[in-house]
Amino acid sequence: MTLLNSTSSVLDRELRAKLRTPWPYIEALADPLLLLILFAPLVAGLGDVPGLPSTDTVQWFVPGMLVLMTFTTSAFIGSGLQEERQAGSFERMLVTPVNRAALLLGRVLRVVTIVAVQAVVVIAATVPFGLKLHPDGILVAIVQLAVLAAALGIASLVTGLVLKNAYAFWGVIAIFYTPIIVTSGALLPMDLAPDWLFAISRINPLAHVVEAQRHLFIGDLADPSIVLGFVVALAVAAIGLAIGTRAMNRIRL
Amino acid sequence: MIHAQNLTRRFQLKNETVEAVRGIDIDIAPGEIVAFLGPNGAGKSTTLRMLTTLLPPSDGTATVAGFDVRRDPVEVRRRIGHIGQGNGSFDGLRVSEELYTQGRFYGLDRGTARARAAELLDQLDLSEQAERDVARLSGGQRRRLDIAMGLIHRPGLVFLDEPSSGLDPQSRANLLDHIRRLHRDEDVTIVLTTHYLDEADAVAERVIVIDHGTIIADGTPDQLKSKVSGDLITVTLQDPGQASAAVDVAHRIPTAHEIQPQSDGVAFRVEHGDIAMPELVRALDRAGLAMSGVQVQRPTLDDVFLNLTGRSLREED
Ligand SMILES: Nc1ncnc2c1ncn2[C@@H]1O[C@H](COP(=O)(O)OP(=O)(O)OP(=O)(O)O)[C@@H](O)[C@H]1O
Ligand SMILES: [Mg+2]
Repeated sequence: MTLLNSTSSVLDRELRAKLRTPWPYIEALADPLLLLILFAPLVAGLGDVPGLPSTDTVQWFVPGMLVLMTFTTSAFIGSGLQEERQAGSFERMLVTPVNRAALLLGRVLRVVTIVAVQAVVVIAATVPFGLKLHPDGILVAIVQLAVLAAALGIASLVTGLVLKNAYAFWGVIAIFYTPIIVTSGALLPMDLAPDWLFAISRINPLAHVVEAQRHLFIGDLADPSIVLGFVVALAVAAIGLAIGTRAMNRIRL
Repeated sequence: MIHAQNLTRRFQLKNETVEAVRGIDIDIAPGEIVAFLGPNGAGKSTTLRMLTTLLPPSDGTATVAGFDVRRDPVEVRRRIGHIGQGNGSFDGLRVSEELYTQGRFYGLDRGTARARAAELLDQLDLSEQAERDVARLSGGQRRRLDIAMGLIHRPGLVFLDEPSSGLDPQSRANLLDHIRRLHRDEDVTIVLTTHYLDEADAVAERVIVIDHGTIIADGTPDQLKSKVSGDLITVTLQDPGQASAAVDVAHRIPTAHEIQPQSDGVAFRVEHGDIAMPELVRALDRAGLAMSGVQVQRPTLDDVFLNLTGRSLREED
């Protein structure tokens, strides 16, 4: 059984299960829209602030929302893996000859697919709020969000695999959640931050993707932040995949 | 089919080393149906996990279905089915979906996986539940689905870890029927674990008794029972005050041993219960003791376990 075949079987199973109970994903959609309605006016009301465009705050705000949505959809999937491990269905898969990396990749592809669909929906829904569409920028932006989803998804799966129990997993999430969201710059520009906080935002992969997305949404495809955004997301994905493959080969049940 | 030598597994915990399996040797031929019998924590699941490539042994070797579990785990996986102690299916998926996916994981093409899934659903009486979410299955149905998933690729060797634990007696009997049929009609070699004595007795042609990570007995149920010397006779008297007189009577019965006074009578073993019975009735009569009941019991696997370890398996349930 090839890696491709195995991965598509895992993806198929994942999509069937999750699309039947799509509420978490619909919630994940509601989040950016609610922030757009409730929070974007506050941002617009800030007036002349470093890092904020003087007009067109929607164009600035939507990319950040998309990154947050990508985070919500993909960063918690490690817990689902833990549940399956606890129940015994993971063991049943490990005893088959299926490629073990495929058990991770299929799950990652599920969030990649869902994030891509969510992004299209959110973008379409924000046009009435005044979002201007730069087709090639948006296309690249969606691809980048998909790469970010893969990176966060694999990181989450690896965390779930290594930590084994749910308390430890949610503990890690609780510690990292607020710093990651705040220093991503999705809600307020990091230009406002004191030096130490700005320094922290530089090691937050989300911050780099948020900056890249903002340039993509104004059609500024030549900005170096776009390449940096891809590099950072791909690096997280590569590290995650390396640790994940190792963990899968050494997994003990 | 299975050839294991000095199979050992240690778990390193923070401040202790758990010796879960301590150097066991197992040989199982094709076509056998074998039960690993032992109390909680005996090392049954750990042994199964090593044989099914889920857990590498700390020491020793095992060849399963012709391949070394350490060198060729994937080849072993292709040839065996394993029904674990937990639930193999996961809530949110439908019965047919889980079964079909399992077929795909074993490399069956779409059509074959679908056809084989339908066949197994029929065999295991799950056709009606095929489109149901697995969360809505009864315990027995869910267990049958686990078995179906373990059989999807027609393995010649199947491991079942406590297949019937947690089921009501009727579902248990039904499940055991399926396992027996699998062995009889499809010639599948079967290794199962259990801590139910009657279950080992009812399905297995060979019982391997495991305790504290070592094999303490291995044989057919009859062979094991024959090690317990004789049948158990329990006499209950109408007048409990005469119990000590009944003990005296028991001492005069030929071959009587392990004589235990009871609160209202006496219990003892004899070589052949049916031959001793008439003799016993006459002797009690002569002594003027009136019985309210008498019971002859063939040795059970529990007696075997008690004999070997000094503990009863039942008490630990
Ligand atoms: N992953 C593990 N880490 C540490 N100790 C373990 C682990 N798995 C099993 N053990 C220990 O090894 C011993 C044997 O466990 P095992 O699960 O093999 O027993 P079992 O015979 O299957 O029992 P049961 O009837 O309860 O299923 C137990 O003492 C158990 O606590
Ligand atoms: Mg067990």
